[in-house]
Amino acid sequence: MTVIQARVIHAMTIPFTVQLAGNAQQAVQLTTVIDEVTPSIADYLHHIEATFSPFRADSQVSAARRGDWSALLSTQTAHNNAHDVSQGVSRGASHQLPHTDFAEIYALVQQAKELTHGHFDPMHAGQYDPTGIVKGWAIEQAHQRFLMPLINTGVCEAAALGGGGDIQTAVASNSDFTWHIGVQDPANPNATLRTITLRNGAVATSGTSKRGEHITRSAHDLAQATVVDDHLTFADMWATTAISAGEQTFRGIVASNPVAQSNLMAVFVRPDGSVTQFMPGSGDDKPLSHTH
Amino acid sequence: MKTVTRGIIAAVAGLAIIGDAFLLFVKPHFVQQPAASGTALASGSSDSSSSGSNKSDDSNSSANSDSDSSSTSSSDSSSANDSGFTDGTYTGVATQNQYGEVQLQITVSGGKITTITTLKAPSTGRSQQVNAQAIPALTERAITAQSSEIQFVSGATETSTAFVNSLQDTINQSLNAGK
Repeated sequence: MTVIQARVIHAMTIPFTVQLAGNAQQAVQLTTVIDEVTPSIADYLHHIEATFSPFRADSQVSAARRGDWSALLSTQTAHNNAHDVSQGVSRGASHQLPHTDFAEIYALVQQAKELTHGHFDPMHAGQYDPTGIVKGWAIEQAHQRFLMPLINTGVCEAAALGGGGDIQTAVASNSDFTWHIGVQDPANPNATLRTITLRNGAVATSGTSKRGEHITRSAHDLAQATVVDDHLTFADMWATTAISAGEQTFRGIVASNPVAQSNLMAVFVRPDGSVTQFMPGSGDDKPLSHTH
Repeated sequence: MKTVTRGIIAAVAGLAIIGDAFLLFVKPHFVQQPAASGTALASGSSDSSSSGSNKSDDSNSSANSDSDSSSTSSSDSSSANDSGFTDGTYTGVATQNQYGEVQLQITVSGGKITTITTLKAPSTGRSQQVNAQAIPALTERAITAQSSEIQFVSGATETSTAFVNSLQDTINQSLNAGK
């Protein structure tokens, strides 16, 4: 018998849901564990908001918008990436740049622009605005920092963190638990159109009314795009890109990227309400009969 | 007359071959030049623009290059930069993920940040490794028709103000109640 506990955090004007799943032995401790970890995640999300919010004059993004990019060289950061697998490379007599959240996001948005052929653009109206990637990245980071240790130490079987409709999930390798995520019907928020099942991965949805994202649309043939990828940073980036680029251009972009081609799955909702599955890696890419 | 025609055809064909050769062998090397595109750093001043540079029209060719870069340069007049940094080149820790590797390089001159360069290193070998690992993961994923047993809702409209009685709120409460 699997027990699931859920807690809600409000940050960045959106609701975040923490869920832990445990077996019969773990169930007794589950409430205590989730009540301990939730405030830590809340603190982290507030810290990220304080760093990246373009609406706060004292944020590092606001400073960059004023021409002050010194945060890239600043060593003051509350959360260093201890799990980072990468290594620094010194070139000549150069200095080592401290690894900060601000620098990582700057690098990620440049990568995102490249990967999406410019459809994901960190410059909005001439100003630096990484907002579109920060939320998914923050959820992924918080999941990695605070929830993965609970799985790895056997405190729970599975753990997921969602925010504003985007979710990062994980399951212990010795558990047969599977997460079930409903794709919301854009025409009826209380209904779902499809169910995505996954163990370790991420699901993100973009639509025409998503908050906190400045989507410049070059096509209007999708009402909603839900993307499944390994990491929420990229699932979110691809979902945004699908809405921005339109279905045909998005399919072309994915086809030109071998990693995306093998990793992505997507559910598209067209303006007429018809639903399409996009599974380029499995060869199962066919329009389905509509669902309603 | 015949010779003239033949000569024109030969000349046109020759030019076409030269043109193809240029596009094939020479142009990609131009594109690969690091720091080829400079962008004015976005500052508070109204004349700063994201200027169409950095348009990733080199994205297709980047798969062929070991490293690629885009850079952003600030004008010396952006006085808001904190001074006092030691002059030189600062290279960041590479952020490595399934889609490649990115690394920041910052140049400080006169105590101010003058350029921010993003070095990209799409590694074919690494991509193939990731792909191989992704195969079992794919079999763990599926998209199915409606099921009542869901823990999360993925949607585009979830906000704090509209959360109470939303589908996710209802699911959370139901899970906590052990239903």
